[in-house]
Amino acid sequence: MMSWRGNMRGLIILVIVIILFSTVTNNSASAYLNSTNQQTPFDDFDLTITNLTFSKSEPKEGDNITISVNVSNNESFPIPNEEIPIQNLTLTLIRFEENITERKISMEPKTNSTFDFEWKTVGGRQTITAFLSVETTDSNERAPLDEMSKEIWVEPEPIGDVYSPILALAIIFLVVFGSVTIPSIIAFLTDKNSSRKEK
Amino acid sequence: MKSIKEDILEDMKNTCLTVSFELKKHFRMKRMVISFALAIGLPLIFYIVPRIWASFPETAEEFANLNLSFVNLLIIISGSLFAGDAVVGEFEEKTGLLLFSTPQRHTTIFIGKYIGALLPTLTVVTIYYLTTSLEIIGIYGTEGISLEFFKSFFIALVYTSSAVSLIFFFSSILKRKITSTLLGFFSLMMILPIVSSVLQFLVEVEPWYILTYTEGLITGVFVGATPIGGGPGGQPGQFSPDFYQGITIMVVYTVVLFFLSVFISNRRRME
Repeated sequence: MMSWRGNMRGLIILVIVIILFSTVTNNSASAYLNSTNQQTPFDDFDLTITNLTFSKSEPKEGDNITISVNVSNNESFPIPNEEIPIQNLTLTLIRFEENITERKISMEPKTNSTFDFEWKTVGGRQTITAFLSVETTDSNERAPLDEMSKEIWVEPEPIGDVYSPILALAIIFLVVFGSVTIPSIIAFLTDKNSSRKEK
Repeated sequence: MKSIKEDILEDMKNTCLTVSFELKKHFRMKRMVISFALAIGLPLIFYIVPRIWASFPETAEEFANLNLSFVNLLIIISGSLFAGDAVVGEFEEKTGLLLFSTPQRHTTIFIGKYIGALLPTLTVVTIYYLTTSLEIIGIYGTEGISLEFFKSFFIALVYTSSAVSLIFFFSSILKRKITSTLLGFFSLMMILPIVSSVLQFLVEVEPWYILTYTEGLITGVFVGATPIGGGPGGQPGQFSPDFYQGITIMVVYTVVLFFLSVFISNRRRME
């Protein structure tokens, strides 16, 4: 009865420790995403990402594909423009929280432009986000203008094979169960040696 | 005088005797019931909660990846339960005075104890995978069970062996059951993952030689799924373990620590 209670108590303590540990280690999550949700001072700008396309719909891992981002400037002035305090217009491609690439672009008034990016694919279901941002001449801070995300499935390269872990398991069993015979063999060899010496 | 064949057979019989005694002991102490219940209960959470409040992941691979991210937790808990007091218990509770005076070779006692800790831990992992596979079949059909799932299962078994070896090693060198169990538990749960994270993020070197780093392969084989980073070790690091190197490291840990434990236990004397 005591051991049952002791085990239960131990288990409860373990579960509490695990929950505390998980809370501490997993608290670094959406810092980046939150940072992109700032209020933009360029809300009135009519500069948008209108399309995001991939050159291959089902690429394989490691393939180089072209990601095309279509940006539309419906304003009557070019961007960047010295008259309005915009220093740089940047188009960034993001996979999860990691920048794939970024490029400084310029847009003529009332135009649509397509920008191509080369990307060496990474296996799995990938969400690619095109992110348009501006920098002002007053401060070097970047403000978001528009973003567009699209999912793509990249056929991954399989990792390893199924036989290796089976072989590893077989080696472990062989060593563990085989080690039972070692003392007998050692005893046999030492007996043999001692009887030789006696002779 | 006995022939070598008779000697080996007797050692095998004695080892089997120790294994069956250890298994009965685990059963009597309700360790089996607790860990088997966990092995069925934990994966059920991933089935019941989405069924009631949310939806299942789009692919079977993502579901398996999410579910099996926590199997290492179960490996550590059950490994600590079964192997934590295997050797040290005999010395601390002085039951070794009775056990070691039998004509059975000490080596076979310790090997039997190791197998007695390894077998139930492997069974627990197998039950976890079995429950997960039934869930996958229930949600996505039989085609949801991929080759990657089997790969993950066998890697989990190899990792289980190495985790049991490490905890068994602590059990053979320490003087108290509680210290040995806690050190085994926390080294796999916190200490080694922290060392691994520090090496990855601060020193920026790949900690390929650390056991818990290789554990990433259990879900790492699901290449199509987004890494979850559940269980010990938290979020995925900036390196990922190499498949063949990882398996080799697990085998090396298992074999070396097993022999070391048996050797040290053999030389230990009752105080």
